[in-house]
Amino acid sequence: MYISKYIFTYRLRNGQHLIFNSLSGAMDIVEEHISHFLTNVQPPAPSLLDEEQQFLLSRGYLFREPKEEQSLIDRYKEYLDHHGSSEISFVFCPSMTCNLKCVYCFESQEIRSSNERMTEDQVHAAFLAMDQIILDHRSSSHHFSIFGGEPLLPQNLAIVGLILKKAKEREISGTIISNGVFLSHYQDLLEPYKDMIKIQLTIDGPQAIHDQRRITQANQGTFLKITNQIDWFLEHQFDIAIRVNLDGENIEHLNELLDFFEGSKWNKHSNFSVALSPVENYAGNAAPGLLPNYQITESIKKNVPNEKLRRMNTTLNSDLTRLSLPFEKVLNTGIATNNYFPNFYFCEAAGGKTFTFSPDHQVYPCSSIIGDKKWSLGTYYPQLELDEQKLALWNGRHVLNQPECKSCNIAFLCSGNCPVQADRKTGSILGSYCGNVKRDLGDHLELLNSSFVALS
Amino acid sequence: MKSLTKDSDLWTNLSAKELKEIPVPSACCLKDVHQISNPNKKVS
Repeated sequence: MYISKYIFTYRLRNGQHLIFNSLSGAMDIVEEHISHFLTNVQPPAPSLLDEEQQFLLSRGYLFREPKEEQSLIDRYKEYLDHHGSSEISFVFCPSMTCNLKCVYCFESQEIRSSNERMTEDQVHAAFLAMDQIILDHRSSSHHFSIFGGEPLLPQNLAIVGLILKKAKEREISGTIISNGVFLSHYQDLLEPYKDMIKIQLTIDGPQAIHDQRRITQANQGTFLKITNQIDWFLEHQFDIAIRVNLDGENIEHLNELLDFFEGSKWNKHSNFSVALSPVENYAGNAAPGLLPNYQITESIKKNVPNEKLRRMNTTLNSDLTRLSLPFEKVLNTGIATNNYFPNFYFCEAAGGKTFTFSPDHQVYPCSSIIGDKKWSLGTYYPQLELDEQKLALWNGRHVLNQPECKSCNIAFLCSGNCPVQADRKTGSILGSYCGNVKRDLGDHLELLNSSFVALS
Repeated sequence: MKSLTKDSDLWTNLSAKELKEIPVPSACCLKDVHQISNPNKKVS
C-alpha cells in the first residue's frame, strides 16, 4: 500500500481527525488511529481493518502503487497542457506616477514620484510585443489591465486613449485599475470603450476611514471626490468594481461601507460589484495592521450578512480565500460554493502568464515589482527582447518544480506561495517560502474546530 | 469515518470532457476572481 503524500490532518476536539487530500480535494473525518496511520506517526499505528483500508483506497488517501497517484498528477498536467497559456495578462503602465500616498501602498515613494511616462512609440511597441507573445504562446485567450502608479491622471489621457484604441482593434477586453480621483476627466474618452472594460476603483471604508488611508500628497481625503463620480458611470452602463483593501484598520467598518453602497443604490445596477481583498506585503514594503487572511474572512462572516454580500455582487480575491475555500465549502458557510480544484501555480505571474509593460521600457513578470530592474524579463522597446532563461524560470514556477514544496502535504492548496517572497528569502523564485501559511491554516482550523466536530 | 466531500465532487472522478471544461484556476493580487455565489468563476 502507498500512502498519498498530500494528506493534511487536523485533530478535532472530540478526538477524531479531519483529513484532507490537497491533490484530490477529498475531506473526511476519521478515528485517530487512521490519521496516525496516514501520517506515519511513531510508534506505528495498528493495522487497519479491511473496511478502513477500503475506505481510504476509495477516497484516494491510499493507493495500491505510487504510480496511481502519479497518474492523477499526470492527468492534471494534461489538463493544464490542454488549456496551455490560455489566460495571459498584459499590464500597461502609462506612468508610475501617483497622485495619492495610500498608507499601505506596495510601490515605493521613489517609483510613485517618477515622472517617466509611456510615449506613443512605446505603446505601439508594447502592442507589437503583445502580438508576438500571443503568437509564441499560441494563446487563444488574453486580457489587459491598465495600471501604474495611477493610470487615469489627466496627463495620461492621450496614452490611455491609444492603449484602449489598440486593444479594441484586437478585440481584447480589460480592466482599468484606478484610484478614481480623476475618473470624470476620462468620461468622454472611456465612453466608446465601455463594453470592453471594467473599471476597478478603491474605497477602503466609510468616509472617516477611507480618508485616513487613501490620501493625496497634501494629506487630503479622497472619499467624496471618488464617490461623487460613480453614479454617472453606473448609469451609463460602465462595469464598475469597487475594491476594498482590508486590514486591521478598516475590517470592522466593512459592513458600514456596504450599507453606504446600498444607500447609494449602486447595487441596483447589475454592472456594479464589490471586490474584497486583503492588504498584502508581497513587495516587502510592510505596512502596520496587516491581518492573516483567515481573520479577515472570519470577520467578514461574523459581521457581514452573507445575503448582503450577494446583494452587493461581491467577489473575494484569491489571496483571501486560497487556504480556506475547501473548508468553507464543506462547512457551507456561504463563502464558497464550488468544489475544490487544486492549483499548481500560486498566481498569474508564476507560470509566466503576466507581462507588464512599464514606462522604463522593461517587461516585468508581476505587477507588484515594477520598476526594480532586477526582476525585468527584458525590454519591449524599441523592440521585444526577452531573456529566455528568465522567462523559462517563471514559466516553470509551479509547486512540482519547487524541490521543497513538491512533497509538501498542502502543496496544491498553498500552490507554492509567492515567487517574489521566495526569491527574497531563498535567492530563487523556485525556493520554498512558507511564510505563515501553515500557522495560519492551523489557527483557522482551530477557529473552525467546533464546526467540524458538529459535522462528525 | 465520515466523508465531508462527495466522490462526485472530486475532480479526480470527472470524465475527460468534464475536466476540460473547468477553467484554469487563476489568482492575481490585482484582480478579484472568486465570486461569492460562484467562487471559481473568473470575473475579469
